[in-house]
Amino acid sequence: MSAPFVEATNLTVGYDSDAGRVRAVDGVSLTIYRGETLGLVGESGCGKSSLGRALLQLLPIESGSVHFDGTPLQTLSRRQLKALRPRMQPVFQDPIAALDPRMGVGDMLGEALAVRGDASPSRIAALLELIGLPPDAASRRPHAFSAGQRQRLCIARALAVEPEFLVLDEPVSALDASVQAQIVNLLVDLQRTRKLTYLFISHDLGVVAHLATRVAVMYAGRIVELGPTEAVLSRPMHPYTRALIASLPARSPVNRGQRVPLPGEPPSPLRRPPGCAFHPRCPLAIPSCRTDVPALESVGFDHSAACPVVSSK
Amino acid sequence: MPPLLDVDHLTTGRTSGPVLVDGVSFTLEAGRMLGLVGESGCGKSLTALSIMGLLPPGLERRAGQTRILGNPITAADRGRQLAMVFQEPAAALNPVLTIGAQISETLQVHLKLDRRAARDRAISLMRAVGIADAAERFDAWPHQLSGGMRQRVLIAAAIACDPRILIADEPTTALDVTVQAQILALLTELKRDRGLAVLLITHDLGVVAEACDDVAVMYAGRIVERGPVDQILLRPRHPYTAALLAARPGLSTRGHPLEAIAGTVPAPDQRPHGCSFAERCGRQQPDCLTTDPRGDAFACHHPL
Repeated sequence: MSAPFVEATNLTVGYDSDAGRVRAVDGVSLTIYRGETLGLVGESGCGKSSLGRALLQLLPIESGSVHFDGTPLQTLSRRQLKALRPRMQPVFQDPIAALDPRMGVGDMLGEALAVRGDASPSRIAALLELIGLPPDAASRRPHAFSAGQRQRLCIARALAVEPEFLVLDEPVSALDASVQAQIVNLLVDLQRTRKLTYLFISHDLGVVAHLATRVAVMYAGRIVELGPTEAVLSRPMHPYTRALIASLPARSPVNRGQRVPLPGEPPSPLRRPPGCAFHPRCPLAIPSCRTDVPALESVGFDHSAACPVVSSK
Repeated sequence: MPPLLDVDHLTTGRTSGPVLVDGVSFTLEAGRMLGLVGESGCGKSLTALSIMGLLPPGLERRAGQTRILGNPITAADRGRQLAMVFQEPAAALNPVLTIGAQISETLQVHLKLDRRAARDRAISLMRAVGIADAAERFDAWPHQLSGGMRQRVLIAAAIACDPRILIADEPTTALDVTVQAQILALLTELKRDRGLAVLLITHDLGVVAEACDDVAVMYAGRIVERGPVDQILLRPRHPYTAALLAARPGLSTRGHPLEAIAGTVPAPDQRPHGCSFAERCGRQQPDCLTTDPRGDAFACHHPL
């Protein structure tokens, strides 16, 4: 495997809400290697979006550090960070909210291209071609496009500054199945041709299974399992990952009726249980789970899980 | 005996505007779950709202019949024989009424129960839909409950008057996958134990595979294929059904491009002549562009 490209160490991210202080990300250490797609999965409120934003310095870090290509981001001045920004870009879930409705597509892409110097019409046309839209798209405004085309525009804008690292936060979740597959294929192609590194955040295990090199599973602000995609999804070790996969509806009616619903719901970020936050829902919990926070430990080649019960076996 | 729910050539459109639900027909029997599946804008939710008589202003039913056991559905049937739950449980509950009040209100209005009896019945309904500590939760406010619990409350309110038919419009789409599995299990239990007929509206073929007995696939306002789930999902005849199944990502598609469906769904006022799917279809022939495909099981001139 290549060298660490993005590295979070003991990262904690919190913010104030109406109901009190929320610790969205709670001591996460994670390495993303150059050229890979790391899938980050988990249910709502688990902190996966906050983690993605913190890696890009779009959310303030409470403690811990993020290194980008060897540079510790939290030590940079605002100016130094701004100079680094083009190398790392976000793409968000909702392509409608992410585009300025008053700005023409050509102006929008030109503005982003200007960061790297050349914002000529031919560069704009080349960018549109890259993401599969006709050159005359430049003269239109976002509302003239379908949801799938708008997500293509968001991807084009992110690519305009020639990034190396993209945080894709549920980029296909708002799209219909027939369009979702088009965008997934586009993202995979772009990664190969432009040598991009992806953090792909999703609640959809199917999409992650298709394109991720490795998968990190988050629950209640912490990573509970991490490993190669096929290992994590076909031989899950952490009881939460097992429950998550067992909850997925059958792909085929042949396998229906085998779901074993996990009781309870993910905890609110405001009221996370002590110890292992999964212990109130866990079929394997032992007394120490109520008090001790488990660390990620090896459960296979390049595969780790934060559960003392499965890692001791 | 006539079918429990009979939807017969239902056609709904904008008032002086395009048709959005175009001659939709299906039947539903007691103890069965029918999945009405399709992408956004295909008309699946409008079909449900038309059956419920809940069309928003600007939309009207143009043609077709909806019957329960052979009799046209009346206003009195709605809430009694026929009930509905929606995608966003937070939006469907009244924030200034306790959840117990919202369930027992239905009982007081429709079944003329007194307050005491309505309360007891509401608590037993809350237990039946898997709400722990139902007696204590009776006085809880909607905002004190999680998304999954709110959906259970709505299901309890929907089944309060013992309807024969429950229409559930994307009931698990806003929920996390572990909670989705719980709600699907609950709907399956209600279907089996109470003989409830469930019309489950979803965009998710996995939900159909998991929970439904029968499925009707909608595209651009029409049902393009319908039948038992095993048959439709394992041996689809309509190219659109097959394409939806093939486009699903998973471990088995790793390393290969997904079989995406080219293009986008035509807008309701731009639906082409002939088959609406023709321009995106790999099996297109000249007659697809000129002649409407008709058929009860599948509407395709050149099926798989």
